[in-house]
Amino acid sequence: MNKSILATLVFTIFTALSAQASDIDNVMRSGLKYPVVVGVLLCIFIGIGLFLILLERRVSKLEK
Amino acid sequence: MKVEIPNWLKQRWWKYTSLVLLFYVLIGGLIVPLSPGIETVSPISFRQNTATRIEVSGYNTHFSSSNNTQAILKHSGKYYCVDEVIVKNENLLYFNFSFNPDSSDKDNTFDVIVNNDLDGTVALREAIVLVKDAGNDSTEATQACEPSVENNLHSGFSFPYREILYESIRNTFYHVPMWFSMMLVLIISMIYSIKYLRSGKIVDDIIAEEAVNISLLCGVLGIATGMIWANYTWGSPWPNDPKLNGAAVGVLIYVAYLILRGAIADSTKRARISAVYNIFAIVIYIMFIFIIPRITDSLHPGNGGNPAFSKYDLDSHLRVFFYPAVVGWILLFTWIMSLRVRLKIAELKKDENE
Repeated sequence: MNKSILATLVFTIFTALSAQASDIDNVMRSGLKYPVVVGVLLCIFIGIGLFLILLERRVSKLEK
Repeated sequence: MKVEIPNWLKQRWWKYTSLVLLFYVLIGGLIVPLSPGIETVSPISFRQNTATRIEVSGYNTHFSSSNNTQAILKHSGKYYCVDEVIVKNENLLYFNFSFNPDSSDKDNTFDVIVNNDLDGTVALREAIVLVKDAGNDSTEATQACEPSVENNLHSGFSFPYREILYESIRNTFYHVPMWFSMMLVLIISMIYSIKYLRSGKIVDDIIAEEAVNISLLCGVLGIATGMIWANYTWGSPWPNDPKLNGAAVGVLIYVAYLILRGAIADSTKRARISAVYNIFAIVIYIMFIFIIPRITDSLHPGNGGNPAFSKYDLDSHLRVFFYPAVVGWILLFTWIMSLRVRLKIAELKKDENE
């Protein structure tokens, strides 16, 4: 059930994003391309970093 | 059965170091600009002894900001001055010239060179081609000139502008460290396989297995980043290159390692056989990745007679980010491996207690 909700959500987001493609294209080509790329990569990296730190703490607790 | 986790897997300082290094690489590696360069030249051919106007499009150049922007042509090792340079904006200029070749001149390609104080010297090799007119050798040949150049180097911190690579040169901080990480994690796996064969401790087998799992992650990411890069630079995501095929075979060898482990039910037998396989696998992997591409033709730098990155492309500005990227990625993948090892040991202890 949860998986199907998640799949629907992801599908909806991607559909919405593809519909907005021309707007995003305009933003990317209006000189803001670089900050957008750096921002997205930074968000992904911070997400991975936080996930690993949380996992590290949980595993440490589990070991104790 | 008492299972002891190696102390280095529990330490945190190197794990957080990886995040700091990768943060630095991510930000610095993306915001440092590319050196100036010539992107395109149009038209790409001209007729001899005919006044021609050539359009030069620069990249990150400062044609109009600099007072002394000059265009020069290089042909058969000699320099030829142009008649007039018209600067339109920072990245666009035109120059007019006409050229009449020497009758003994067999070469018909010209390098276009632009020089100014801010950009230094930027060039596009074999940018324009001379179309010779048969039977028009009576006109006097154009004389070479000696251009006066005050500054050859670009001022400011920037990454090298390389034809074909362009902005994608930043992928050096992601694609190359993936393979360095894979190699190091596989060495860890091999060491722990040998340790297992010597000691018979289950923790050594767990580390060896998880190291292979993480090495496969590195391999898949290395192939993915390489395919994107190859598509941009070589025009195809998977050209017939021994290094690419070797990498694919190397990854498959370790997929076979996991299949082998899955096929043996007895844990002791599984650990022993896979440890022996692992030791042989790394030898074959090294052959496919490092030896075969060096003895045949390859598109990769440093292979098949190509110059290595360190000579031309990995200049001192790239090194400032490349080495931290290598260390950062290696530590990050080792961290993920350590988490998987510790979780597996925790599961093992839980099973024993039940």
